[in-house]
Amino acid sequence: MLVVRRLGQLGRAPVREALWQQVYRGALNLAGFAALIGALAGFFAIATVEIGLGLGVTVGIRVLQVLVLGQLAGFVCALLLVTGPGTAAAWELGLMRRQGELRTLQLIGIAPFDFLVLPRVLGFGFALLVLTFVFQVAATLGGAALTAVATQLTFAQQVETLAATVTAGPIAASAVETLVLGTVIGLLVCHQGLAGSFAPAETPRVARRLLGNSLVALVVVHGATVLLLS
Amino acid sequence: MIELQGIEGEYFRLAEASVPAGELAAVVAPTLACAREFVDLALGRENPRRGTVRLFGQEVAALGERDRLALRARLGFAAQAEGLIGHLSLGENILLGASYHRRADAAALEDRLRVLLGWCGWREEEAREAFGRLPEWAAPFERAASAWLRAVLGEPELLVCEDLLSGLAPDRRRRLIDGSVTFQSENPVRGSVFVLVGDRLLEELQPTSIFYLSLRGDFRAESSA
Repeated sequence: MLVVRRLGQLGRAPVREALWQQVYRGALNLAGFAALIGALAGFFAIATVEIGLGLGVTVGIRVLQVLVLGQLAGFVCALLLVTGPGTAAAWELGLMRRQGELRTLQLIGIAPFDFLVLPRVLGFGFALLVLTFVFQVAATLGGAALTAVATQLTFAQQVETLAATVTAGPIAASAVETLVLGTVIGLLVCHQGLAGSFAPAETPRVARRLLGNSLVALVVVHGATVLLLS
Repeated sequence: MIELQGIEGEYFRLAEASVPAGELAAVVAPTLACAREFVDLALGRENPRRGTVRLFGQEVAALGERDRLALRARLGFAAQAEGLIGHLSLGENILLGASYHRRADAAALEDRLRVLLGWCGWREEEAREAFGRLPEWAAPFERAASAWLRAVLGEPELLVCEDLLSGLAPDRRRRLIDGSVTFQSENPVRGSVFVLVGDRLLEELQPTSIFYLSLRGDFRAESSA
């Protein structure tokens, strides 16, 4: 709630800059990697159904939709976000706390929440949204392209099959889910960095805890989305 | 601008101190921990165990966190150690306060920065090169000057420097002191407080008033005009 109440702080240039930095670090740096994994996941899903099980393009595309785009995309991207930028951000905040930089911010009239927490929480939300979108597009287009190379299915055939079944509802639900999950991960990262114990030697433990908490968040947010939509 | 009465903190005691507009005051602390605690109490980041603190005429203890932040936005704070944000470059650190508090547009800040660089004797070419560095890779003068520039760029009513000058070469110290004096003389309603660790820089600073912090258990707070 506090994040929502402080949204007006985005009118300040340094807060906007911090938000952009977080989106950049979280999404754009990992976009290529997410696209690669997405394309391979899309390919394996369609090709396995087509070649391995011989169930045809319609089932293959359905599996791609339900498993890869609906389930795997958010999961893989959340893991990428937590293990890379998430751990780095928790470390950065812990170090800032240890080095007295939160005190400096307070003494120059800047609320650490506005300058550090708000952009990170929103930044992780947008980063996961962008990253998941990249993964999904790559899984669809890249997966279809790779499948067209490896099997007798054509690219156009796969895309047409997908276009015939896709609706706006699941896409919007997926976007909202990833946005919520990303902000929850951002909150967990900030909590770990600003409220948790911090020492350089504890980095592996911090990373493990962050990953564990994020996985729980992933299950809870995904479960809540399914319940709301059912 | 700052009034402290019967202050007792964790590390020090101070019977009375007052810094009105137009003063350049020195606060002499026996240790860095005392200096930091003084700044925290005087600027309302912490509450003293005993005593009252008034900042810009308002009793700090009666204010909430947001009001305290708003009050601190009216002053400039500079410290050499831990005074900058580590993940921002020196240039970003300098602009942080003024930009966050929307003091002026970018062009006006740039013009003002050029003037301030002249006041603190930092050659513009040299400074521009340093602005891209992170504080960790900057020289002590570059860190101190950046903290000072950030503090004064926001046109504060009160400049508070915490152990800003220690460890600097004499000519570099002189530049920051001269810059502070020029800054203060530009507008007579401004005030400055230099919190020093030890009294060896008093002669160089030539403050208009001096306040000594006493370690707790050694109550001999004194002030002289």
